[in-house]
Amino acid sequence: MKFSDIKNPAIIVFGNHTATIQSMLDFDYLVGRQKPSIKAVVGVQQKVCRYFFGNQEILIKGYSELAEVPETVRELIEMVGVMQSARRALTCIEQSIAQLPKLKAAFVFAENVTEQDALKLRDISSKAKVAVLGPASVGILVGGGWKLGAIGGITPMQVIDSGTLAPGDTVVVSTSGGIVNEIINQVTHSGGRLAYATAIGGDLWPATKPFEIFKMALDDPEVKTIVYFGELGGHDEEQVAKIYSETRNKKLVIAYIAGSISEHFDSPQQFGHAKAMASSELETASYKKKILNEAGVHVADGFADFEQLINKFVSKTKQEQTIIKEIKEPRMSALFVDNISKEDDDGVVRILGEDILAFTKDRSLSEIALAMFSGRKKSSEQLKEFFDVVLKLLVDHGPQVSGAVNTMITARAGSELPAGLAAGLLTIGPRFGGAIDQAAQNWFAAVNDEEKAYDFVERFAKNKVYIPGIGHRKYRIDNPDPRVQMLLKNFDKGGPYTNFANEVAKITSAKKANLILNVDGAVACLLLDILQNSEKMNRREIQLTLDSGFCNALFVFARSVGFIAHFLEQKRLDEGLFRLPDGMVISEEG
Amino acid sequence: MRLEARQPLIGYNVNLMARVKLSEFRAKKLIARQLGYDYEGISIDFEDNNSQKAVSKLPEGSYVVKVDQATKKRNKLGLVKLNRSKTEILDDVAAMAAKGYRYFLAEPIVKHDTKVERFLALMRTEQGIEIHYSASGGVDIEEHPEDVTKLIIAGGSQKLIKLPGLSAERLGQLIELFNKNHMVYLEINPLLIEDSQLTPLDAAVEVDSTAELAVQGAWTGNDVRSSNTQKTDSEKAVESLQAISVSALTLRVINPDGKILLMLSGGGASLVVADEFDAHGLSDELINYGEYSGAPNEEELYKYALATIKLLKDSRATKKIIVIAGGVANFTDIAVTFKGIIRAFEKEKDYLKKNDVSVFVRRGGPNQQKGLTMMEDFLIKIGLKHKVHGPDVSIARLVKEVAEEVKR
Repeated sequence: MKFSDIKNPAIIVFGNHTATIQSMLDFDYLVGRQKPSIKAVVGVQQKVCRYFFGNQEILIKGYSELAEVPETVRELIEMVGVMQSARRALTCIEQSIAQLPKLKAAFVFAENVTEQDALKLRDISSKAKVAVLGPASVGILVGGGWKLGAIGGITPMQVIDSGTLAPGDTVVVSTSGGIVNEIINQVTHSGGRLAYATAIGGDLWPATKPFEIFKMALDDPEVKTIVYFGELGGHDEEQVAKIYSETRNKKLVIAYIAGSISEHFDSPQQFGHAKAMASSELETASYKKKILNEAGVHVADGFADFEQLINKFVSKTKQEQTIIKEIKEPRMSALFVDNISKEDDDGVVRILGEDILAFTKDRSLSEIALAMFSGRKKSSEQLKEFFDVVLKLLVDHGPQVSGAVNTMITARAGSELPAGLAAGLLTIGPRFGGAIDQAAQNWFAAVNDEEKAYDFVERFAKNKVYIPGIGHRKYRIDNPDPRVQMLLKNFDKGGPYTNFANEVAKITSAKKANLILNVDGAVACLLLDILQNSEKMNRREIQLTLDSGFCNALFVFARSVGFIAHFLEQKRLDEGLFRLPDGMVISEEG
Repeated sequence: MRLEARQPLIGYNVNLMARVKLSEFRAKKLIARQLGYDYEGISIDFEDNNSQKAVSKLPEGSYVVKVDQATKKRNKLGLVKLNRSKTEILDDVAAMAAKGYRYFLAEPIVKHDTKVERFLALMRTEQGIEIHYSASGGVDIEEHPEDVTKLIIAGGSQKLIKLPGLSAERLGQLIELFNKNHMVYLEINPLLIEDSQLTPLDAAVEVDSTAELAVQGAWTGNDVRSSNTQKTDSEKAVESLQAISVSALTLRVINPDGKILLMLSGGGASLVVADEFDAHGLSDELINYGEYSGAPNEEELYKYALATIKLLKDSRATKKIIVIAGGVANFTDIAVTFKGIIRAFEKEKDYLKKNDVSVFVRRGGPNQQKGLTMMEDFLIKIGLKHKVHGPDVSIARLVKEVAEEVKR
């Protein structure tokens, strides 16, 4: 395998490292790619991550775990960039190898990965034949191809100046992430172009070693020059020298080994990178220079010499870097993301992407509400029917309930409809109208935590809390609520949530005859089963739906009809200001 | 045959990602806990008065007192005292402390037959854990390399291995100790084995400093020892700065009377700058070597710069030059870090002006325009001779300019 064989990669990034991710997308755009290479950001709480593709703002899907990324996306992924903490690095690569069948290359950005983890990282990645750069790597860049990591620069200007947007035949291998960009610049400003550049990372046990990149480059007929930056410490150069002296595919190699300063200290010194320490003669910069020299490598005396050698010997390619696309900075970020509707420049209103006339043509009002509430244009027949029935049942519940009373009082006080409706809606919460939402959350958590119905009931009893969705003022086990019976008859297909709710009701109603499954509890469990079985939502999607307030939306939408009706009637009757009669309020003092 | 051990650039610094040495005291504590016995030695910090109380609580008996600071050849240097009574311990400590040492160890002496002394070392390598063992070990092991058995236990291998005199169970326990505590080197020499009881007479441990959180307090930064005893105030100041920082700040004096003071950043680029001075034959003119990286904040840079400028002031050289150099940072903010350095310059501006200090700068990275302009404006304002470059000027050219200035 060689990096330049990957032409149009699909990439997943772990960790929302904005500057790096943006620079990878800028590279995509500047080399003329039509679509962003990054398909998902994993390890984030956001559902969408905002970036720019060129001058246009885009949204990349965010997931907290790799397993949540749809399989259709996962099976396309060829590379991953791991920019999460040192603690997570090994797990990210393990999961990627297990879950991404096409995975070919990766880089790990974190510093301070433990030696034990680093050794495991090398072990699993070499077994899986995945080229993992790092830990402590700034990534891989293929000239004119793609950029994985911060390598090559993080602003559009740096990327353009780095001269890496056109392909070439020079390979850069560097143990230092900071220096790699300096070398790339030296190569391109000397008239060379990159086949690819890699940052090995300065750790003791890198997952990919310099000699392995050398092997890849020496076996690649398209590569003409290799430029290498190494440091004191370790024995990498022995392997490089060996492989280079044995190969028949000689290419021009220019190398610099940093760390001659170390020889001026009395005792071995640890420098900035973990590997940068010469404990023995064989780890010194001068020894490494000597063996590379003997193997036939052009070894620089100092950095100035290194730059001159690159200037003189690097393969001068004819490939011009022409910038066809332009990125205008600063790029403005939108203030909101909204996928529900928009008014286009031509004045046409589109709902969920469709012209409002077309969108509404064959949909009932409840179907429109369902589509807009859920943000999904298509729903199962089962859900549509259920949603419609529930809306109808919730439309009103008599004038005595809190919300209706509030609306009527407001109407009689002379306020306008918006005030009256708002007064009614403001009562909706944990004790009025909110029971569907609470019941749904409870049924959902209990079933997914595999809590037994008995334990569930005991938990509430112990805490002296009513179970939302259980109990009715009038209906009893021997006098069941006809609405609940109708709902169960039409929509209960034996789903786990409805089964659980029924089991709970069986236990509670045995304690007290009116502790039956009420209409809120029934709507909640049936809705959950429909979301799971008919809508095929996974656990995360259902949780998201619940947390967004979908159940309350049902109630608010339906009951607004009732409140408006009560308001209008009060206005028509015009009975004047309402005041509680004397004696209707008492105090503790009597 | 103690293997060449790695020595951290500065001591007591676990944030630096590298291998570090633990005190012998902590090493023996860890071994004892693993093997299920109580270690009866105590650790003595000469600068901590509570240590004396610990000594007074020891039972009467015969003790070994030694420097516990990762120092090699302690016997030869007279840093190990044998057969000491309890009352002699503190006298020994005071005498050895006068030589510049701070940490000591006192433990009951173990009477034994030297014939039962063995040698055991474990090393983390790419292939697995390499074990060196000799049943006839002891302090003279270096003279008998042919007696040493070497074997490698591949990572994750559960295979039980028995060595002459050392049971598979005991060796398994030591390997567990090694992995659990993220050790990279463990040497016990001499090791006494009697009736399957293991007693380490001397123990040396190196750990992977990046695992400090993973070991959950089994060892901490306080257990890390460095044999460097002759530290300047500036080095100590940077050390304590590093101890509470999430960034990396290091400082080491090369020639206290040099002409050139370095403030470097970035692992690879810092080395390149120092090497370039070496290539110009100027390594002897470097006052120091030191790096800052990992996006330190303004306050840290201010203190860091002050500590280094103190070295410049202490130098007896007549010509003095400050070099602020580094690569093109990926994430360290140039304006933020330069602001800290400028504040330190502001504080020391009288000295800098009076001594005609010149300043050479070469740096790139986020906010480089702002940082470089700020630096140049400041140097013009206070009237110091200077050159300020961005990444368009190479490290090599900057060093050449400085070299010309030195020789002028």
